[in-house]
Amino acid sequence: MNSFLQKDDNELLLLIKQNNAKALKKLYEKYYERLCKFSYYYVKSIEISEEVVSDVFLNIWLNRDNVEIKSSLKSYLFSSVRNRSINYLIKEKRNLENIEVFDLENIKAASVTPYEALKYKDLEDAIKSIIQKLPPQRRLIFRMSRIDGLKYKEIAEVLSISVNTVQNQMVKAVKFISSHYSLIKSLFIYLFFLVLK
Amino acid sequence: MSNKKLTFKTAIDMEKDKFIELVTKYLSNEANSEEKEQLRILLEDEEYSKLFTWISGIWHDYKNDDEPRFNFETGLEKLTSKIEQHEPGFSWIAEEFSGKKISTKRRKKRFFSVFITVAIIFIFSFVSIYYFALREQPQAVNVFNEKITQPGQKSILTLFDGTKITLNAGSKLRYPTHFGESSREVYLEGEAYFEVVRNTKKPFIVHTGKISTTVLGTKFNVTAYPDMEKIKVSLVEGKVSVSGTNKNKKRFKVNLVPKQQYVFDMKRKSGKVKEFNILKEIGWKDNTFIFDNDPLETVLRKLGRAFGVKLEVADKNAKDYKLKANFQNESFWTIIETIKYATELDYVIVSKNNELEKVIFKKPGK
Repeated sequence: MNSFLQKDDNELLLLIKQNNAKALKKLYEKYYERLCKFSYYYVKSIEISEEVVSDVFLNIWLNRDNVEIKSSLKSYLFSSVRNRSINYLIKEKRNLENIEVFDLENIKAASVTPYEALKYKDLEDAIKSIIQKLPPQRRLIFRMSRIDGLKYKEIAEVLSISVNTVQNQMVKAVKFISSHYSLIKSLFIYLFFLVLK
Repeated sequence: MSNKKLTFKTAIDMEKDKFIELVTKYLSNEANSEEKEQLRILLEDEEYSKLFTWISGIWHDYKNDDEPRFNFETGLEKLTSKIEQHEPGFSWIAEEFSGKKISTKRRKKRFFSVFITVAIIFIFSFVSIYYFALREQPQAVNVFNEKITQPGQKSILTLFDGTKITLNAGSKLRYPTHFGESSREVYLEGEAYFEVVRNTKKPFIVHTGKISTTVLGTKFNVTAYPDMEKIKVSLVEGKVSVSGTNKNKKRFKVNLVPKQQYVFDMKRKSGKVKEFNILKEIGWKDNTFIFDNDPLETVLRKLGRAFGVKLEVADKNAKDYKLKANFQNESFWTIIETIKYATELDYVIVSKNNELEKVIFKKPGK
C-alpha cells in the first residue's frame, strides 16, 4: 500500500521530536518484529530481544529533543539493537560464538554432498539447508539484505564494515547457492519420478 | 612438494562470475540501469536464464521460519511501562502529548509551527509525487512483445522478473517489456506452463480471453486453445485464483490449491474444480502424452499440434473411438503405429512437395 498519506521514517521522526507519541507508536509497530528477530539472532532469547528493542525506543523517546541521526533511521535502529544485543552478550559472557568473526578468509563453507542431499524431504528443505551452510557473517548479511530489506550501505553501517565487503559477501552467498543448482535440480527430478512410479 | 595451486580462469568462468555479480545486485535492488542492461543481454542465453530462474526462486522463497514470532502487544506493554516510569501520566492517544508543562501561549505558538511544518511536508510530498508521476508517463505507454509457436514447436521464455514460461505448440503469448507498478500481466492464446517468481507486491495475471488467472508466485498450467471449448487452469504448486464472467453475466472468482484444476466450458459459460493428473496435463513439456479413454479425434488433435502434422479420421463413427495410452518421449511413427494397432484402423500418408502434410486414419477395406 503506497498511499500518499503514509508517513515515511523521516516524517515520523520529525513528529516524534515534536512530542507526538502516536508517531512513536507507529514507528515502533513498523519495526518491532524485524528488530526483535534481528536481536534474537544474537541473544537467542525472546525475553531479552523484547527488552533490547523496547529499550531502544525508550531511549529515542526520552532523548527526542537531542536525537540526531546522520544515516537512515533504519540503519540507526538496527545498529542500536545490534550494539545493545552485543553488550548484553558481553555482560553475560554467554556464547561468544554468536558474535560474528571477522576473519573471513579462514571460514570455508561446508558443501552439500550427494548423500546429504538425499536427506532433504523437499526442495524447500534443501534451500534452507544450503543457506544454513553459509559461514556466519555471510549468512547474517544475506539475511539482512533478504529478510530485513536493508540496502548494502545500511548493512555496512550497522555491521561497521565496508560496502565492498557487503557486496563481496552477497556475491559469494549467491555463488554458493548457484553452485548447488545442477546437483539439486537433478536430484529433484530423480525424486519426482520416484514418486510417480 | 610445493603447495602452489595454479588456477586458470577461463573466459567462461569470468563471464559466469560477472553474471552472478549482476544477478546478486539486481535481486538486492542495487543494480544501476547499465548493470540491468548487461544482465538482460546475458539472460538471452538459455543456460543463464535457467540459472537466473533458479537463483531468484531461492531468493524469493527463502524464509526464516525457525525464528520465533514476536507479539507487538507485548512489546507495546513493555515500552509503555518503561516510559511511564520516567514520564508519569504518559498517554499514546494525545496527539500533542508532552511530559513537560507548557503555558497556553507557548502551546499556541507550538501548534502553529507544527501546523506549518506539516503543511510544508504535505505540499512537498504532493509536489514530488506529482513530479515523479509525470516523469513516469513515458513508461506508461507499454510496449508489448509477442512470442508465437508454430504447431510442432515448443518454446521457453524467461521474463525479466525471472518468471519462466514454457509455451506449447500453436500458441501465442503477449507480454510487456516492462511490468507495471502493481501487477505483472500477460495474455495467452494456446497453452503454457508457468513458473512464476514470487512477488507479493505484484501479482502475476494470465489473461485468456475473458478468464484471468491471478497468482503471487507458483507453478501452473493454462490451456486455452481457440479451437477448444474448454479453458483449463491446472495448479502444481502454490496458489492461484481464477476469475471471469459466467453465464449469468456475474463475476466469479475461484481459488485453487495444488493438484486442483479449474475447467471452464466456453459454450455453457460455467466452470468447475476437479483434481487432475500431473503427467496427463503437463506431460507435454517433456513430450509425454497420456490418454485415458479420450476420443480419437481429441487425441489426434493434441498429437497433431505437438508434432506439427495434421492428423485426421476419415470415418465419422471412428472419431469417437476411445483411446487409453501412455506415450513417453516416443517418436511420431511409433505413436502412429500404436494408434493403428489399438484402433484397428489403417492410415494413409499425404505429402506435398516431399514433405509430410497429413496422416488420415480410416477403416480398412475402403
